Amino acid sequence: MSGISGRGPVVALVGGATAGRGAKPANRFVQKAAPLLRMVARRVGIAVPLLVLVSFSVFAISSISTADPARAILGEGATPQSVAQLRHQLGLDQSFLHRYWDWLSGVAHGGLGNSWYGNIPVLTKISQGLPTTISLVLAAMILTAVVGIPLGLYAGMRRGGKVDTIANSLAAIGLAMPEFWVALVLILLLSVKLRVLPGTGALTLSGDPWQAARHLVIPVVAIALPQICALYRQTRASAAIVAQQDYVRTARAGGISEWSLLRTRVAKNALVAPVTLLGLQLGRMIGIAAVVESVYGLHGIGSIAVQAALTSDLPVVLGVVLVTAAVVMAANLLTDIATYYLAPKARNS
Amino acid sequence: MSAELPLRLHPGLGTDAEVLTSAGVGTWRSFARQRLGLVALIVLVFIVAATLLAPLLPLADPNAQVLIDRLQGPTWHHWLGTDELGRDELARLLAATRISLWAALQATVVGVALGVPIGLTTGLLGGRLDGVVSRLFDAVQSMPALMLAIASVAVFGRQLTPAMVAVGVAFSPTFYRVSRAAASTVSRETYVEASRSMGQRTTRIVFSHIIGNVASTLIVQISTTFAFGILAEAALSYLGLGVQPPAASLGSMLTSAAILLNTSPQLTLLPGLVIILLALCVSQVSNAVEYLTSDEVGVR
Repeated sequence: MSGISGRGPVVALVGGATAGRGAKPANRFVQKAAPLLRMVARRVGIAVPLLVLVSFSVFAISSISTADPARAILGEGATPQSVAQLRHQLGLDQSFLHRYWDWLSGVAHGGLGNSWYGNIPVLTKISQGLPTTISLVLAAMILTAVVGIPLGLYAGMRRGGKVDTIANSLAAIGLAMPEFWVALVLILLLSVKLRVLPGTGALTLSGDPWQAARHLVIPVVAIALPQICALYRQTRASAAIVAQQDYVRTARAGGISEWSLLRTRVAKNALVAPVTLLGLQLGRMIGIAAVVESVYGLHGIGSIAVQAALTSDLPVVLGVVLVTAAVVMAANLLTDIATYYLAPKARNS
Repeated sequence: MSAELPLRLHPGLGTDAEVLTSAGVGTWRSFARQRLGLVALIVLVFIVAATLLAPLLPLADPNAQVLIDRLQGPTWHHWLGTDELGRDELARLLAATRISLWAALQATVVGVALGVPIGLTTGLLGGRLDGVVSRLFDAVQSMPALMLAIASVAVFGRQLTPAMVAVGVAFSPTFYRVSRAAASTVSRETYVEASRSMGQRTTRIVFSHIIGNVASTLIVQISTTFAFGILAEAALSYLGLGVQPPAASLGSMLTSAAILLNTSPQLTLLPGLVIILLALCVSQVSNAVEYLTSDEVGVR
């Protein structure tokens, strides 16, 4: 990750030594938060041109592609006339710069264009899929953090123990598992054989919350499993390094309980790298959710993108890619804010 | 899929090698790990050889349908049984694995070819170019690999190669970052200045000093990308975005098997186990190589 970004010391620039003392609490808060706010502003400022660049690249690449969306939409049996007519309708007969400009001015007016099928606004399609994907990915992230971090801290503080050895081997295998296959096996075990969980199908969030939660168990576990293993390994490695520090050994020699040792000396320092990884995992989970949603028949933005890709519906795919990229950038920013609080040392680097 | 972060976020926190030796687990564990890596390497070589030699082996044609023999269990003729169209499961698994390895190789080569040279250049030169290029790679990194692959299918149609190129592009920022960091650190080291003042050319310095320094990190990244490539190919082909039937792929085999999940679960289990075996072997080999080539060993 670009971290708090390498443009020199952020903290030192704000609130000189003289201003700090007599200031009112509100002012002090502003002073403390100022470097953070500056970072947020700068990152948002970078994000917008980057998203424009991403969309431009997609348009540019699609213009050199030999695949003809109009032919893909109309099918093999279409006459050249009807293909030409559809190309005109979709604006495909214009230069890609012209099309990009049209699309970009549409974005400026708060839209992401229309789907090539049925002229439905892309934003409408995406907003239909968002609730499912958000609940899926959010639940998977919570599960990943709740299982991966405590296990990793425990194993890292007692390296070489039985729990450590078993957990390591399991983590290596878990990391090698394809998520959609895990989903298939869980469906086979839990809903086909044991019948304890509902099988595949779309998620209705408006109905019974208990049913909705039961419905999410298999896809959430499938998405989270490899990520739990990755986070566990990262946390374990970080905790092991921190646990070897002199200050931790000193505290241990002083007879502090393992729990307070973890809480007061180890956890904060050991969590920097895992929190950074958790931020990165959000992007991966959104990508993987696309596959798992399709396996499980869920109607999320990922399965919308897959359907759109199968039918060459470029505006929808582009919309999903941009929304995903924006979410990932926001997650990276949140990660950096968390790192800022966890590791004062990293603020200057 | 475990791009693990560099463990030394804080300089001075001690390297993992120190942790290992001070923990007193020393030689036995290192030997055990390398032995595991060796076993994984042998398995991988065996699998690669089997997939390459598959056409010469006395196996059925992976696409030959014998409907009367469909959904059989293991027999003398079909060691792993047959699928829903009576095709030999073992022959199909071998053909599928070859496609899978080839796809993963494509993604890895693209990632390395894009990230490493640019990273070394900007790391050495620094300055404004470095800033701009780094932001560009940030933009690429904000797109999940699978999402980029799905987008490539929307643009180029249902083909595996563009999708795997997209996966490689999505992984290039990691290669870029690793090479750039190594180059920019090394270019400031005294021994590089020394070789420069002795009249060595920059390209030579790059190859003799930087590549040596970054090799073990690169190997880990390469294996991570390769393992993800295997998983990505399976996922994309499962969705019908990659390899098209009747060609066998570990993903497309799972698509047709999913319908028969209740009656013939072995058709779902086998390709999955092959994927796990491949990804696991790759990661174990990389662990061993990392251990042997680096003095800063990951705590695993």
